[in-house]
Amino acid sequence: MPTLSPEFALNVLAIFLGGGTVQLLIFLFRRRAEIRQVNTTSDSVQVNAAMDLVSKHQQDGEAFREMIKSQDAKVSRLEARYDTAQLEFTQQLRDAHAENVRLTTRVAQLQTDLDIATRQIADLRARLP
Amino acid sequence: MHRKLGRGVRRLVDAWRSRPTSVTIPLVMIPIGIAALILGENVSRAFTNIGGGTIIRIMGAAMLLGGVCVLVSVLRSDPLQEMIGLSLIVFGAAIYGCGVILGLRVQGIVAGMGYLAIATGFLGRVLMLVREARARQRSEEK
Repeated sequence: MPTLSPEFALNVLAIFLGGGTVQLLIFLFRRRAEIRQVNTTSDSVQVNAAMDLVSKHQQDGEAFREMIKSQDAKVSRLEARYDTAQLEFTQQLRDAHAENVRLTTRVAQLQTDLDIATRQIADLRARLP
Repeated sequence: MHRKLGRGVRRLVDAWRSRPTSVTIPLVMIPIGIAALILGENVSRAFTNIGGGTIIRIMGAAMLLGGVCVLVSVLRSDPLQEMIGLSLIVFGAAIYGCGVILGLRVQGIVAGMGYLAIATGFLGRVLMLVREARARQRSEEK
């Protein structure tokens, strides 16, 4: 059995390793778009995931703050509208009351007129032969 | 010019603090690669025994290129470049580890296995980054 010379073995290994490296590089180049997004500033994937989670929660908090702000604005708008409606209603009530008083006086006047007229009719009827 | 230099140094220090292993070894691969390129097989007893002058120059070129890629990636914070550099260093370290074990036999076990461990570790880091990129892509598609 011929012994394998170390140089030959090393050459074969180098060719295999080179082929593997070239394949790895091609793989990396194909996925360069998504690889550029990776955060390599730390050795730990968990830390990166936790950072992502924290930033996501911060975004959520910001969104909730915006929502609360808009709801507050809506509530104050509704309160203002309620106040003006209350004022208008009071005014209308007062107007209606005044109208009522006026009409009552008029009714009393008319009643008096009617009474007078009725009495006059009765007088005239009595005077008839 | 001075400000640019200062920013680069700060990036390097940051990288050294947050991921010491994956910065130190690639940067040290730059002088190793230069030495291997210049001295050829004389840089290692194992390769002198085998007579692998071409192979060790290829290895040196891969290590130098990989180290420079990682250095540039740290300065420009470009993950793709870092992964390319790490892949080249995986190639160089694996060749050196195998060469030392082939050339020195039992006497090369310590150095050879050390270099094979470096290659395996960096291959693991490249695969981890690929996995993370894929997971991020999937979470963005949702």
